[in-house]
Amino acid sequence: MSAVARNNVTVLGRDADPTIVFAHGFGCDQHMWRLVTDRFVDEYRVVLFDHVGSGGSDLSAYRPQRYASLQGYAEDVVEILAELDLRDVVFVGHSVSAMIGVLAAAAEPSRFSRLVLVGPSPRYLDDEDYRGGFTRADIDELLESLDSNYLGWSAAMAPVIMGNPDRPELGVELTNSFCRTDPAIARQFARVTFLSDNRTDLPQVTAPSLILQCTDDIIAPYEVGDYVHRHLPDSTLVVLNATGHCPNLSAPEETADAIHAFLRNY
Amino acid sequence: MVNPLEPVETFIPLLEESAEDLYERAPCGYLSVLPDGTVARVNQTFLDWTGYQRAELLGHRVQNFYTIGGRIFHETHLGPLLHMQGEVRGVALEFRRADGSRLDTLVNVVLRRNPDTASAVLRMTVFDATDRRSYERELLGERRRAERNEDRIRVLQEMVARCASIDRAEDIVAPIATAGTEAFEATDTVVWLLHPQQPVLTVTGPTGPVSPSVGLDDPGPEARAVHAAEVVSADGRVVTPLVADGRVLGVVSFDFSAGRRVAADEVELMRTVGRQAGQALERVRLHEETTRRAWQTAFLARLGRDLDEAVGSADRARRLVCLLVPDIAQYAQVDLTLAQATDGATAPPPFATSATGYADDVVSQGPGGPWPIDDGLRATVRAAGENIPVPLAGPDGRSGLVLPLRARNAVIGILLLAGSPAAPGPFPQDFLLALVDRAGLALENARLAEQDREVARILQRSLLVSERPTDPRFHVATVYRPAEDRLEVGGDWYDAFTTSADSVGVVVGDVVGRGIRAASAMGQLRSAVRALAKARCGPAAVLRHMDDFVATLEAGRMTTLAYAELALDTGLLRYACAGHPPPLLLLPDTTPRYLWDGRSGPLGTHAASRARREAELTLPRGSRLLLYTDGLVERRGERIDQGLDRLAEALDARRTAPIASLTQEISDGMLAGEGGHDDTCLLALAFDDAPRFHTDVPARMSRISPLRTELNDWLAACQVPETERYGIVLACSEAVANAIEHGYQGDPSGVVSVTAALDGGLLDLRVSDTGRWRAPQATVHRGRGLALMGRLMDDLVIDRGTGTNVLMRRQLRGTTR
Repeated sequence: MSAVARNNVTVLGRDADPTIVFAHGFGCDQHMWRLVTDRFVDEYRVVLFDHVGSGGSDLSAYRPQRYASLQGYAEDVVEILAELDLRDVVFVGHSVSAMIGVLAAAAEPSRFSRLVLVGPSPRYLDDEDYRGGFTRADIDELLESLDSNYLGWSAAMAPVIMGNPDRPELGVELTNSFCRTDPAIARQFARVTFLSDNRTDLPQVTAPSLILQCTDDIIAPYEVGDYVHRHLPDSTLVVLNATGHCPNLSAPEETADAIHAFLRNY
Repeated sequence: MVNPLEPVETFIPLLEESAEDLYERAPCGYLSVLPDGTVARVNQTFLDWTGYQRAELLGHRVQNFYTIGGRIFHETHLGPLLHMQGEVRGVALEFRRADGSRLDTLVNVVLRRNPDTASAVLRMTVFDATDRRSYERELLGERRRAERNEDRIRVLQEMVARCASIDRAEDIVAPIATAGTEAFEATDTVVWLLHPQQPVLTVTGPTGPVSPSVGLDDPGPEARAVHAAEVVSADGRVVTPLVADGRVLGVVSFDFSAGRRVAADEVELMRTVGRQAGQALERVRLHEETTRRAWQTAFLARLGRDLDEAVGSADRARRLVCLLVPDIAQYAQVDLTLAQATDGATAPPPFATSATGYADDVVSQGPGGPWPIDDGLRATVRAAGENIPVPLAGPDGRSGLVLPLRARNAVIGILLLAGSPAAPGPFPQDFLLALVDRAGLALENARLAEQDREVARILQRSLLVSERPTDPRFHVATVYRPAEDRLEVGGDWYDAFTTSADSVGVVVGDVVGRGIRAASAMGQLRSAVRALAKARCGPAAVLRHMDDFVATLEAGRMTTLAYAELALDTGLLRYACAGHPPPLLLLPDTTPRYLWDGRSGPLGTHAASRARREAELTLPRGSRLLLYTDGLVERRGERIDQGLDRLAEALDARRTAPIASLTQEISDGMLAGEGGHDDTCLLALAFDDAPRFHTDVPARMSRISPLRTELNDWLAACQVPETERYGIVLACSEAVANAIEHGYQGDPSGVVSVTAALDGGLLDLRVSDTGRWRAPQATVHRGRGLALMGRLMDDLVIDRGTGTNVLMRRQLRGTTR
């Protein structure tokens, strides 16, 4: 199976334009970006995809060993770019995909011209002097919650999501994809995400990068964004007014503006 | 009874108070939250459930009152969903109460936007779902366990399937390790296999250059699991035995991280792992054993066959070590010096070719040889009996195994093996015993065959060499060629002997079989033919008597022979063939021909003995007769008649060759290019022209005396009796004296030519000179010469022309024979 099919790749815009790749974070799928991508399709060829196990990806391609670390997801990104023969792309990664982008860019620098990291965290767990925002007990509780709120974290909520009565097809689409995932995969993805430690990978990145740090992001607090900024060579840190962990949804305009500004300057 | 037609409002004052109370005391929690999570309003019900004061919530983020999982769920799922959908219903959320305990709820959230102010608020209703969630948890727990067990069973099924397809015992490690990781989350899974003979458990698989081992007396759980044949747990490790048919083949140890509790159903599954893997292991072992046995059987068969192809014990020893390396060992050494160290238990070989009876005492193949072997080790090996192999510490620290090479209940040497075999080992003792027994027997047989061949050669040589008859009337020449590619001598023979004063017998025979028995039988038959021939009863009678003789001599049956008697005076040839190739006759001035008459079957055959036939013909002088064995005319891929034709042509081409070189040349020509795969024997009998005497004597009286001596010797050689010789010599000397006296008249430069010939019993004597005859002067005693000659000889002819020829003849009588 091709990486394009496996990762449910969507390509928008003109082939001649420079390419910008949007990667979704833990929880949902490429639809996370729909409020942002409208601002890019006129100037860029926009590439969207779902991580294996999320959205419209091929669930049968999920291999616990391959996806036992973020490296497997990063290899998927490189495979997608190789299959589409893309080089010098702008990679926009939200949440855990920020680190996936870091790994991919470290592995194949020639394919990445710039990185945009939205709410990145190289390490969610506190570790000696490092403040990731979560204690080991927190993570254990999270994983336990993940286990007990089994239905909530996975597909079971889909039937209660109300579609737009005027556009029932949208509802069906969302029902079938958005935030829906196989519970076993969601469990492992959470484990991989929240137990990952990619701090040593940051200095490997050579491409200029933008860090978008939200205000009051409990998943990736400011200290973490600052840590990334300090350890990522040639990086810019921009703190958004947006709160929470998903500025791409809560503040799409501000997010898009910040990305555009960065791309103009670098 | 409520009247459905009455307005509902009628009842409201009775049932409910204010809307405010309805909000605050609603049967659900109610929160109004700004999009960033800031709590704007909360009802009393929620406060009651959570134990917070209103002031503790208002103005703070609702996320702060979630559990961690709730917080992340809110950020990663709830928030995005609200953004996308505007509404979320029935999702489970966990709040943290003021006392730290968890409140399980189900919430509905609606996003309300005010299009005028562009502001938005989240309305969140919260239902206590403690009971439902605990019930759900139980259900989930059950489901999780069921799923987990399902996973485990799937993993174990995969393990069983993978185990079923393995060919080597070590291949069982990977499936078991995978099962340990995937089914039990073991941090380490180690497979220990029990040594087939020794009480030792050894780690199997990729464990590095040295596999750790423990004895079964080890106090650890691995050894205990073997003894108990049951699962043993100890210090975060669970050991399950690999069992097949009630036998423990090894164990699997699963290591677990600290604090991991292994449930009873998991132990049961581990037990299953042990049983399933044990059966797979047993199957593999049986397969390996079968394969090994088949290989060993084939190897022994090949060993026997290949050793038999080698000639001689030295060659066999060299071939043996070549065959053993590298399949059986990296180094092999055969030491046959054992015989020197014998204490009398093994009799020394009677016909030793060296001190030990073996040409090369030590041969080896492989690096670093030969290893020194001392008498102490030899004694140990000899005493080892069935307790082999004997381990040996060799030079440079290597270790080897020593095995006795045995044959006919005696140890004839030592086989030393060192280094890992290329073939699948280890080799069981019975295989090694079979190997050394087979090799020992092959070496011993070769040695005995060498002795046998040597004895037979000596015997054959001694039998074939005997006194040859000397008679100027015939010549015999022989050639004997042993086969080049045979170990043992054959039973071909030839013989020539006089049967009377005027008769010679020749025979060529072929005894069936080879070796000492054939050689000794040949000797007896040869003597028998000689003895019978002297009885002068004729060839057919000789064969009949030979039939009687072989009846008492088992080894002589089916012997073929050609026998011929030649009367030297008459030239009568009588011959008979007992199943033997026909004699080849060459008469002067004709082409060779085979004598196909006088044929009957081989000796000792029932039919043949009834009808022994012979034939006869008279040979002129100058004839030649060939007798031979079939090896001379048989050639692979050629009909026998072609071989006979070749022989006839070979003889025809050499009709004038001297008889002594004739046999050699024919033998060389006939066997050229043919490896000589059979013994060949060729005898040629020449019935020579009449013997002649000739000498030229200077015309001096003093030369007469030597002439007399010379002629007398010739006559004696021709078997002419002394009484006859005297008269002949006297007549000859008279004639020579006449020639000197009358022909040359004392001229010493004259020459008198004397020629004598003996054909049958008739003697011709001729004395010639080239002088001019003068009439005898009246000297009495000279004048008596002619009369004397006339009395001494039967005929006297004097021919005078240019010179004088005196021709005298006498029929000889009273020969000594």
